[in-house]
Amino acid sequence: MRGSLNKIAAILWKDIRSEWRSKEFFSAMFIFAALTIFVFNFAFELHISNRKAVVPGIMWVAFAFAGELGLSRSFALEQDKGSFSGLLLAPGDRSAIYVAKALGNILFMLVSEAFLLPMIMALFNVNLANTTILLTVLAGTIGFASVGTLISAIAVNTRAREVLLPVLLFPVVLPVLIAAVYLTSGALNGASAAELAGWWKLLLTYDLFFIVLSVMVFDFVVEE
Amino acid sequence: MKKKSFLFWLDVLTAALILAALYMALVYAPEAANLPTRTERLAQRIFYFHVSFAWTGSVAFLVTALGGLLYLIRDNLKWDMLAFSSAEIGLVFLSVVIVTGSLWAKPTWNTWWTWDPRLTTVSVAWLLYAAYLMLRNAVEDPARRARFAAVYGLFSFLSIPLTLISIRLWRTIHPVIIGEGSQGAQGGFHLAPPMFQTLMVSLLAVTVLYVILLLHRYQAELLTEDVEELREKILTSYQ
Amino acid sequence: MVYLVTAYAVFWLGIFLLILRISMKEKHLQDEIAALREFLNRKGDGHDTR
Repeated sequence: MRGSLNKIAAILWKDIRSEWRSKEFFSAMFIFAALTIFVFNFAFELHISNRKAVVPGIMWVAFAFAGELGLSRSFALEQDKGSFSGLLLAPGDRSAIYVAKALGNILFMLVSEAFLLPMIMALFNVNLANTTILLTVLAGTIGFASVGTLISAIAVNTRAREVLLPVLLFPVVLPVLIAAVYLTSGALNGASAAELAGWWKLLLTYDLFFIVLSVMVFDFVVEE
Repeated sequence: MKKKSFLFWLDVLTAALILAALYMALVYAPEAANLPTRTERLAQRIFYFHVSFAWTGSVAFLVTALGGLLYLIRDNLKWDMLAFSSAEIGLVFLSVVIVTGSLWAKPTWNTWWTWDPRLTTVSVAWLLYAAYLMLRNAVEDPARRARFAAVYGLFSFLSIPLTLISIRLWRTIHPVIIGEGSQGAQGGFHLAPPMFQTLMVSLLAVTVLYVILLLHRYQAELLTEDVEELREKILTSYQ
Repeated sequence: MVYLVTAYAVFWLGIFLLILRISMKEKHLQDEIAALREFLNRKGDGHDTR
């Protein structure tokens, strides 16, 4: 157990440090998501009446695109430099690699979201600083990145991996995105906690269930 | 040889069953009396095969998920071949379900498509299994392909109920013929006994059709293995 | 009527395409196996490079 925790911490710390030096993930994720938001801003001529209806959708599309971009680099760097075999050879449980990578992806996504949220608030003139919305962002990101980490581990070992990752990822994480959009929109439009309870259950079930499943099957994905 | 002739008779039986189901759906089954226009009453006859293909298509994906799971447990490539064969047939079945459903929806709902829970779930399932087949295409090594496909098949299959629930939280207009109907459903009708018989015969016919297609597809997959073996043999004989 | 006929045409098209694909694949593989077997046998008749 302690060994696993050390391994997780070591891999996570390595990813954070390499990201801190290059800022490769972050800049790509942030700029791409910002572009998405700009495009939406021009595509819909935003009248005051429909702002609250479209902002949750725009927000989650931008987050999902940013997340997808981050996930596509998650294992690619290691695969290209050949250091992934090194990770596999390291002593201890292999699911520790998954946990560390998933934590890293969640962290990178949350950091870009922290920059994107104020931008959306300013551009669309809505107030998103609300406990329900922030918790939704957290739970949605956890669900998206935990499944995404497993799928990116699959996609990186295939031909045409850049094309395959979104094709594989988006239909699987659709329940997360739908639930997240509804929770965000519910919170924006002042829905009561009782109305949102069903969506919370769905989102949390998905998070829990798919994290457990990913940890269980990760061994099969990286088995060489 | 004996096994092959068994499969042949099964083919004949399936063809007969399909023709019988076709006759029952088009001629034997009475019209749905409560539907207002003749176009709608005629379009209602799409229902028998539509529902049969939809159920069988779902079973095909269950077989894919189970085949993948058994491969991961048993580590025998035969299970992977079964999963692959089933996914391919299931995808064609679902395509048929979506197109015929649209053809029914146009006269009944006056639209080709609506984001109703069932329609959305079916289209997402279609995307998932199209992605499954793309994934298989993109991996060379058979063992690795089998592992990836099994994992992805499992994820896809388990995310489908969640997609269904997530969209069920919206109101549905798709009629529920078997079991409890939802309020606001459009195009529903009472299932008279001859209609029920027709549905059961179509369901049987389409299920048997799926089984024989699966058997044939699986045999073709076994032949692929033979080809690989022979190629291997020729290559090693040169060394 | 148009909807009904089109829908049943689609059912048949689906079934037909599956049968076509599977039987073509089977045929193709059987041919390939026959060709490979023949190649192996001929090699056995003294054309062996070993």
